[in-house]
Amino acid sequence: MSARRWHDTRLGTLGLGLAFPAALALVWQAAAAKGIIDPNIWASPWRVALAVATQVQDAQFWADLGASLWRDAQGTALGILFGVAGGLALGRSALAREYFAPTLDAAKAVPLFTWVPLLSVWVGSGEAGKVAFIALAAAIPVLFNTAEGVRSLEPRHLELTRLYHLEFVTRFRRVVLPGAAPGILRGVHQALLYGWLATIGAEFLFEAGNGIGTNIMGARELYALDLVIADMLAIGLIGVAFDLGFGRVERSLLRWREDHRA
Amino acid sequence: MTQDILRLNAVSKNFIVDDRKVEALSGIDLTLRPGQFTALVGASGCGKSTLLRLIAGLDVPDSGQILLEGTPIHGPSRACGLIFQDHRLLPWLSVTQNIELALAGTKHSAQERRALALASLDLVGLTDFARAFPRQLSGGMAQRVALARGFVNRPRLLLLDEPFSALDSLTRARLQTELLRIWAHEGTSMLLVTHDVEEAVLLADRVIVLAANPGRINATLDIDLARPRLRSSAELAAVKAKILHWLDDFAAAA
Repeated sequence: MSARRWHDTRLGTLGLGLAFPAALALVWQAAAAKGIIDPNIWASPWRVALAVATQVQDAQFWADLGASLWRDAQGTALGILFGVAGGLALGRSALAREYFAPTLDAAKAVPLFTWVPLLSVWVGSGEAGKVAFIALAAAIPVLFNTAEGVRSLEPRHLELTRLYHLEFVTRFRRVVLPGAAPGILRGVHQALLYGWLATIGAEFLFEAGNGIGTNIMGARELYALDLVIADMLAIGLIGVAFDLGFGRVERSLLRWREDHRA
Repeated sequence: MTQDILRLNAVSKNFIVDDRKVEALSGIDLTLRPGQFTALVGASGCGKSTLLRLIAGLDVPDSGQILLEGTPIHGPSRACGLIFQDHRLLPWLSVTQNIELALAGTKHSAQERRALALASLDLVGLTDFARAFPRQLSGGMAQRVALARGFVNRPRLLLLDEPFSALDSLTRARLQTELLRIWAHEGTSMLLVTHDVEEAVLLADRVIVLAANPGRINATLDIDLARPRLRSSAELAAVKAKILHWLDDFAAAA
């Protein structure tokens, strides 16, 4: 009915979103050019752009990025697996809920990074520790959101499983899983972001190895702050890609929730 | 002599409300003959939905016996279908998948299930919506899908728990006609719970009137009016008035 205003259009939204960083870059660049800020400490946008060009051509950068993504994939996949399984059990069984929920709620209040020393000792501070840390970061949102999703199943819908004599597999595939899907997917969405953050965190906090986090540390040692910022941009870009990409997956899997009359 | 499709012997059911025992149903005796359309009417709170849930096997009576085709029931049975007041379709399954769900535990292959579901959908005239999700349907269409699901595994007895009460009067009238058409076509025995006396008289061969506190059978009336019946006919109005009068008397006596 009402005409869309220019900032409601796709291009308008994108332009508006980019306006602030663009303005910031301009001011920053101008300040660096005028000598107001020390360009060695505050890498100018232009130098960052050059650093991005350097990194894009650097095999080490791509190797590190690949290592981080692979680490992230392993940890997040493990976390989602455990999170979904635990969340389903927690959501379906009142006994499991009463038994585990207080402990889990308490554990949730402990900051994630405090697990690093323990995990280093238990699992090792190398690759295994990092993957375990990422898995833990990813599992927590999946666990709680899955349990919430399962609990939100309506008794009147579950009653159908009795009426139609649905066996365990059908009941799960047709009723419990899709009914809990909004919660599960919300959890997985958060897990993708948390897992990626935890990947970079693990590379900082555990034993040095490869990865984009290590790449940043290396650049810092060289005082190459332009490279540090270039790496940060890459990390952020990947996070945004996860967010937008999975948002699409979520919408397409939850098509049934959309209201449009036939 | 044909066997009764359903027989209830002295069925009673109590609920505990605020630590007090409340008699929901007391000493219900009831016999349904195959192919017959029976309606249960009564004021709200007379336990008619409870009675239907007992027959469907979703709840268990405290005393008495429920025999479906001569056999005591143990939980829900495929021989007995149930249609709820709300359409109760799963929002994440398409119309066809929802109907197929009623066949999930049967021996039919996936193709046979699909074919049966589509045939049942055809019965209610909604083949064009086979792939739609419930949220895309109007209330009347969703309830027709629920009917298709109720009929898909050919139950010998179909229980209907105020299936049209949430619909507007025009849609309700259309679906009543549709239900009669399917009933004539399938020959299923029907047990309809309703608080709409006109609906009961229009559809049923026999109307059973329940009284409340505790829920019990108070009167039974055979409706001998010829079919198709006209909502506006004087005979129908007379029968309806008689039943309404009874209901008033029970309410006054209570």
